[in-house]
Amino acid sequence: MIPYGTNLRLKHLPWVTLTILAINWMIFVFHQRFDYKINFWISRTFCSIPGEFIPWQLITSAFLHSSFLHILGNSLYLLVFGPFVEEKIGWKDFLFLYLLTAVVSDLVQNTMTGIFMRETLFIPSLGASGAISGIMGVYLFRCYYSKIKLMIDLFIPIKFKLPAYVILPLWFLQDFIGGIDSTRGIYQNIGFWAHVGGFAAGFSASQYLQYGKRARKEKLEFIAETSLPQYGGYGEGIEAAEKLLKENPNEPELNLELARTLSRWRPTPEGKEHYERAIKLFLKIDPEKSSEIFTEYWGQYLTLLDPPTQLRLCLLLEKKNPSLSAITLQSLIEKESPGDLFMEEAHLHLARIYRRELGQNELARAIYEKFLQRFPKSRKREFVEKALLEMEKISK
Amino acid sequence: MNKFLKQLTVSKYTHLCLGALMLYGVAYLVTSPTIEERILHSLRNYCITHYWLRDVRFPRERAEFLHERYRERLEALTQGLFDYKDRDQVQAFLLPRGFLYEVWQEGREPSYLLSEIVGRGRYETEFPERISFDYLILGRKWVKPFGEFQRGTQAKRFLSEGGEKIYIHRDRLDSLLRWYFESLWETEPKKPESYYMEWKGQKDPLTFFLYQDLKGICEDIFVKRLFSQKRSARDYFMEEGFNLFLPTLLSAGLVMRRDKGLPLHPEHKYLKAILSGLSLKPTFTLFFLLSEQRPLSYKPSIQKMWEEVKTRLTFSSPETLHLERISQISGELLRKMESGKFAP
Repeated sequence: MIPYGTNLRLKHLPWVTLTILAINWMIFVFHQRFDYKINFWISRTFCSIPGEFIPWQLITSAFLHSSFLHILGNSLYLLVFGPFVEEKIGWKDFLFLYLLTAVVSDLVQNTMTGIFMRETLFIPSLGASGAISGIMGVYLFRCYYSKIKLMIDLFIPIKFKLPAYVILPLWFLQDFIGGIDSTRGIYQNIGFWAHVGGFAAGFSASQYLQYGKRARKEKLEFIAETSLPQYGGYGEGIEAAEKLLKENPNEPELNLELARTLSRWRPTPEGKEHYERAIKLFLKIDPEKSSEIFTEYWGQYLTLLDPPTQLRLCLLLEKKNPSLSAITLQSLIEKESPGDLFMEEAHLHLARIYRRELGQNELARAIYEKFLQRFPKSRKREFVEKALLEMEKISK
Repeated sequence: MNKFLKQLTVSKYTHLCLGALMLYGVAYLVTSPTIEERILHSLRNYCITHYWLRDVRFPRERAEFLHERYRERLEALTQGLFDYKDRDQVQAFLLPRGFLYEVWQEGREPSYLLSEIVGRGRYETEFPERISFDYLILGRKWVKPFGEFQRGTQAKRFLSEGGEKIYIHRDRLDSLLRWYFESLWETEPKKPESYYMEWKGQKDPLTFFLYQDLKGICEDIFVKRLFSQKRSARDYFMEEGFNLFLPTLLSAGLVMRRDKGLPLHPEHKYLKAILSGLSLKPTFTLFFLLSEQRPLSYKPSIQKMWEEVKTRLTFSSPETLHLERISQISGELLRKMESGKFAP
């Protein structure tokens, strides 16, 4: 089975993965141009020979490949798993674990050779598969909830998906069995123990570095992200979103997605609550978006928010959607009792909208007069009286 | 500085690196080769690259380069221990360590044999006069004779001589016995017909003959079920199977030892020895394998001799052959060889 992708979505370009790939291919291409004398020297200096290895060879051997198929296979696996691991754990941890598992995989292979396969003690080993197995181990730990896209064969292009927690352990088992076979003298020119060692090292290091907590959270985020927008089967997504919001209720995007899902077929109190929360959270970080969400919310629920928030939203909507701004302000001033500072502002803004945006001077005058009635002692009284006089002059 | 060191000490990344360092120590201890291992590997590479110089399949310049590198390495490793160019010195070093090293000239070029020794013994008999010889049973070959290197399995020989000893080559029989055992273990034979392959009504001679020779052993393992574990069953099968063929090979060795001083071509000597062995102690499998072997020499007379022998070794179907017939055929061929009709 050949992997060709996963169901995760990449958000950033995986620079380190691509750089490692580029380095591997550059070295391979240059390697092909050298004659046998230089290749002999390269092999002696940079490949890892179990019976005579030098420390740097444990890393340099991970950047050498014996054939085109060898590097192609390794590149495929690195491209499938590397980018997501790099995104999840960060480029520094990724690079550290790549090199660490390259070293450990080589050491495990050498150790097993020394114990069980001494006749191959002087056969050089090379390739990135130990390090890539390590990355796969990290992937299993961190992205266990994802699905791997697989093809039976290049010649049988039947595609299907399997959960990562099924296929990756299966591959590990396959390598382990291959390793056992090699200790019994059945050699296939593959460093199975390097794969086993690398995978185990990646997985164990992930545990030690406590990636598990973040993995559980990412699983819920993934479920929420993929399930909530769907028209059916989004129950799992709601559950996941609610669990996430329990830990961190102030996630604006999540609140918004959940609000939309809960309001998809009809208004619900929970949907209303999440909309209101999302609007308030977005007001702090992205007021424009907040006003858009409010438009959406108003279409579903026709309910005002608290006066200070509502007023702010109306101000944001003044230019973009003056009618909606006016309607909501009108509702606000009619609903709420006088004496509130925000109400004064609401009256004045409404009057301004009627005058300037909607050209409704009569309505503006009515609002100003209402203002004078409701707020006789307001500091803005003079301004309002001036405005009224102006409007009278214009009408005459 | 102290703060930095403290941070470094408690850092999990440092701990992971320390873990890798510990594993490095273990790997270093476990993989450290002995001087014998280093010499064996260098000697093997030296011999094989020497073959590359003789074989047109390998680019000459590259072969020369590599041969020179391995020669330098071998010289450096053996300095103060023995002279790697001296057969006796190399043998004296390797024999106590369980390895046989032989070198002989084939024309102007040497041919080598480097093999593990898995058994040894002394064979004595009165045939017609009292003859005895030491023999070594050789297992896996690290370096094959050049003929075998060039021409593959069909050029393998069951025995050869070196100095005062006879060498019995077990590797061909071992690989065959292992293959036969593995296929029987997978198929779990219940009836006699299950022990050999059949294709369009024709019995496969190799598996049929193996079954004829190893009937008792097959019965012990697959009928009487004396072994529950595959490993012990396989070990028994391999050991008893080889012991079944050993008397034939020792009889052959006896003739080879007797003909030691004679000016016969090595191929002639070999054929004579094997046919003698089959004549005295016939076995189906060795008879069949001999019919499959190819001559090592390109000399027309040797080629002709082999052709005539192989013609006589053919059979219409495996069931028509029985041990007496094998003995008879082998004896007839032997008499023809001794009468000079096949002699090169």
